[in-house]
Amino acid sequence: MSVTSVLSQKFNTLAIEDRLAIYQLISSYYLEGTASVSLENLSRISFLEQSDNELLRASYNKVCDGLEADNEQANYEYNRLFIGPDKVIAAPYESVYRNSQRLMMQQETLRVRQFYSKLGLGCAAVGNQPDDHLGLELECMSYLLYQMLQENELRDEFIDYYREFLENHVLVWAFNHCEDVLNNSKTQLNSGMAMLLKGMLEIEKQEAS
Amino acid sequence: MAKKLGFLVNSDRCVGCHSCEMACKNYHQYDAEIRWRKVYAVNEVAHSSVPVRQYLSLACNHCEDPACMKACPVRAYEKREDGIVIHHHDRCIGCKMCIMACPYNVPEFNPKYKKVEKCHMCYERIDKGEKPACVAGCPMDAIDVIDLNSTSEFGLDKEYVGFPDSTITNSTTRFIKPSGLLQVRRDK
Amino acid sequence: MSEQWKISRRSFVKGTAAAGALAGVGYTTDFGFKGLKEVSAENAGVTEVFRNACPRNCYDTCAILTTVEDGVITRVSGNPDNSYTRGKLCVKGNSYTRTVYSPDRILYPMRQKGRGTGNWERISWDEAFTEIAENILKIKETYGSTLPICLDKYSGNFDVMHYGIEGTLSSIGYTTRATGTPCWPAGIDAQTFDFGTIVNNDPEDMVNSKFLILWGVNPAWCSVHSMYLIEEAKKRGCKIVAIDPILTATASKADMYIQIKPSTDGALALGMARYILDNELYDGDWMAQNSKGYEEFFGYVKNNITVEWAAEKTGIPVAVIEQLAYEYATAEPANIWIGYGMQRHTNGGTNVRAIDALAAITGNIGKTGGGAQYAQLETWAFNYHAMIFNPPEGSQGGADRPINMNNFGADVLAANDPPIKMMWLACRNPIAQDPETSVVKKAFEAMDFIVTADLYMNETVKLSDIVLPVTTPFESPGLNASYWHYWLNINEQAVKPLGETKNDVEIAMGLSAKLNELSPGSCTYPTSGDLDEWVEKECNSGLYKMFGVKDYKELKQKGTVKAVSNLVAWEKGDFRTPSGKYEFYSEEAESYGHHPLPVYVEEMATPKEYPFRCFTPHWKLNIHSQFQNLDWMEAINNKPFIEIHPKVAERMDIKNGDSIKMYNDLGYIVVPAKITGTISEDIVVVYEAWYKDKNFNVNYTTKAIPADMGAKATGMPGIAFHDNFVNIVKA
Repeated sequence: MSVTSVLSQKFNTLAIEDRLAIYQLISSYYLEGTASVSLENLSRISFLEQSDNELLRASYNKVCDGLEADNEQANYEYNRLFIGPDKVIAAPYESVYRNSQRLMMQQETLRVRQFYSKLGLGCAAVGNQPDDHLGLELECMSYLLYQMLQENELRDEFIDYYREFLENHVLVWAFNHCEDVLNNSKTQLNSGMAMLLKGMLEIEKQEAS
Repeated sequence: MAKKLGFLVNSDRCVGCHSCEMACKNYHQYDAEIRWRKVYAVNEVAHSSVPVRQYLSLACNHCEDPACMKACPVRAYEKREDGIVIHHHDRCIGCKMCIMACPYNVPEFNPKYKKVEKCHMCYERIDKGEKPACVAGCPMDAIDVIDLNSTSEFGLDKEYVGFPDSTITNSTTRFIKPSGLLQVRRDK
Repeated sequence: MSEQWKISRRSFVKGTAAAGALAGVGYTTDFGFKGLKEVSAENAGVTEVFRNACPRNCYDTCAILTTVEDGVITRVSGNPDNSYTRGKLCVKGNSYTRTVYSPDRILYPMRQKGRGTGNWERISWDEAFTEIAENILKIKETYGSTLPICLDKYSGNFDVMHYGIEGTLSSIGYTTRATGTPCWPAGIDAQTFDFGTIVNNDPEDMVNSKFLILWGVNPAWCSVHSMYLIEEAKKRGCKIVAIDPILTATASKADMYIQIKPSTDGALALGMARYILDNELYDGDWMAQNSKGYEEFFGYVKNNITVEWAAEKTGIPVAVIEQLAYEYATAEPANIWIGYGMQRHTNGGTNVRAIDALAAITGNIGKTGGGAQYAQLETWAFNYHAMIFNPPEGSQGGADRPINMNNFGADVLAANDPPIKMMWLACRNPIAQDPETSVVKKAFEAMDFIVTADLYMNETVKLSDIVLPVTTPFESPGLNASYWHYWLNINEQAVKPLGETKNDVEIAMGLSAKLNELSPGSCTYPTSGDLDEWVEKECNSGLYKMFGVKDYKELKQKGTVKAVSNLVAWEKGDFRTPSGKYEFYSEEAESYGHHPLPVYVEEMATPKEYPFRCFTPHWKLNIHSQFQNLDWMEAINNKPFIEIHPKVAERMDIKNGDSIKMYNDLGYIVVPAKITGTISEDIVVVYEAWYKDKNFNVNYTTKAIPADMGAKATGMPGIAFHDNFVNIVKA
């Protein structure tokens, strides 16, 4: 059995390239703000318009609608959700969700740092930025998917790391994070992105079991 | 002879500053809503006929007959030879029987882990020859850990106003009551 | 002993095997990283301990040891090298880990689109500096000077580097400055008239007193490390007398508590002086050698003061006053600690003068275990290098324009020619903490542009246009002195600044770079520099000598050092008054419109419609608007309340927890009642604090009534916070 067919077996719900494009978009959204959700960037995941997955299709359409309708409200809301200066509604940090005291830079953060280190990666602004920022975690996942597409013998290891990272980290907290966004967002763009992430995570969760 | 460790709470020196409970939290870094040690305001006229501000700092009483240990169906509680009563988090199933059994309301249920937690007299520090975080952290030196087997209990009380009867489980916490003061007041 | 030490829990530095199976495999180059990057094996599992200092507006200014694991602060503790801190922190100090990593922290510069709308957008530092610089330059152009720019800064952070905030404004031109201090100026003036300036004995010397009066001070809540020293003194046979309208946690530990009628402290002191005079318990020799005007003072006392009068004024029986006077005058040595709360009345300053006089007539000044302690700034022998900058050449206006910090809202609105159009706020939260909140809000509305530098969202940030995120003491270096004890504490940078937070000096440098880019020569602040070097620039040979260190290196190595001499105030009798002596009779005081002698000035009368005096003392779980907002603190107490006397409660059918509306002609608050016999019938107590999510601000009822003194030493009179008269009703 070729490696490609093994891969497509393991990722049969959604192709690796498609996942990569989606996670890269969401990662940019979390790292750079609503400006990264542009028509140009959205076009890279336009295949979702024909997706069998209802949630993914609906979220894509919602985000597109939001681009048209929301205006700067989406940006203000993004800040209220994730940035501040007021108490953030859905802090995009793993430790805030998993740590009982709702703090950044905790043991959970350090465990994510250790995981990146296994891959030979690290947070570019380590110390200034918590390593378990959702944007970084999604970027890590994107990187692993990217590696799966390359011609190299370590492909299986990348798949293992991918599953490990999801199981031990992202899947543990990101659902709650999405819920917080969906419960509080009034703009199409932000709720659309949360739906998109949620849809992706549901696929990952199913595949993990 | 084995030790019988207990907290000595000197209400005469205690000014109710809450440093002890925060020192405990700072050292162990646990949830906001959980308080292993709590500082209470004592009834103003408990120890004097004229109102006064006094305070009592309580954590676990590391009882001689721990009701928590008796009530626990999975043996999550253990009493060390030196008397410290420890709760083993990993064995806990969150049944809350210990909460119902303890006369002093010491174990607290943490909904995040669905398990119970309580003060463990910082035994890891005691084993190193250090004092518990609350004792070390009290700016007034109002709390201490004493060995009841080698300390005279002269001048120390087992009971304190508002504190449940110590004989129920033979609490090892000992108290020093606040001394009175002369008050010149304008009340009639 | 005090060097950083590293403990490796586990080491990853063992060659490629440890670096992770995929490191250096070289597949990363094509992937466009935005937040991660390739790294070589890191040295994980490293634990370090740093020295920090608590820079809050607090007597204790603690020396802290900060444990950092893998670049993350895991806990703090007091530094045992400092004999005042004694290795223990207070309830606030122990909660520091909550302040650094709270997700509620402001991490990025942000701009509010529409003041008060809550629509914030994130901007870069460059954008922030640009917008601020453009506003400054526009004002300069429109008004011909930078006087329309007003700085309101005070005590949020007393680390010496934070004087960079004043420096920021000095370096752009002449500006308007909120001048004065709300807390303690009346007493400062009083001691300035009497002694020449404020100097207290080293508080660790308190253990040597045989008699100690705690006069309107509550160290149990506000200076707990001194409370320990008071207990030590007690152990050594010192008698403690607490004089306070409220039976505080401190007073509850005294040997004797005297419930004085509020604002009549001067009468008690003068009554005691009369007794001391009549019974010849004064130290005539000391007075003859060291003072000026004692005959006039005694003349005043003889002709105007009787113990019976004092008893009537203060509500304290004659026998008690006489006994107190006797014990104070005959104890050797006798000490008095004058609290800042005590002078927050319209006659606060003159009351302090009368109490100082007690110490002087009994010769208790300049002695170990004696004195009239208030505060000291002797240890603040810094260069203030971060602060002192000249305005750019050609700056118009002539000089900085002072407005009264203690009447901020009204003064901002009244400013004319030119008006105030822009505000810079740092280390201050006037919307929450100033009296007459509604007026302060009006002042904000009149501004074109408001910049606030702060850690968290608070009431003042809510009404700002741009918020600049700042570092905590753990994220940038500094240096701290105390206005009470005699220690100097180094503050090391323990962790990297979170997010994009900056230290105030960095902000000043960044703004200067931008201003000079847009308009060369428009700002004299340096545009770059190493922060640690900036800290060193605050030090000088006098400072090193004072603390017995050779140089900055030794200071850093030791981390916390104590002054080596001059620990007993006025020991050499070298008073800094015009006459060089202790001045009972002060012409300086006279020149400021006061009676030259410490006479009794009538306290503010209780208006009929507002029969209760509302005290707003400090609460134990906060320092003003800091700390009470932390979740650990909220777990202990989450509610403001009003303390009411049982007889009042009975009369008005009030039970514990009942909702009470406290009001006067200025405004009102609604809080639950707490019935307590530790206060008197004529007062109510509402502790001042800021509760994050609660609609509570006692300052809606607080008028900006000036205290009698403060203008000489601090530029403006203080605020009579405790002369707030109200009425209460069940809500």
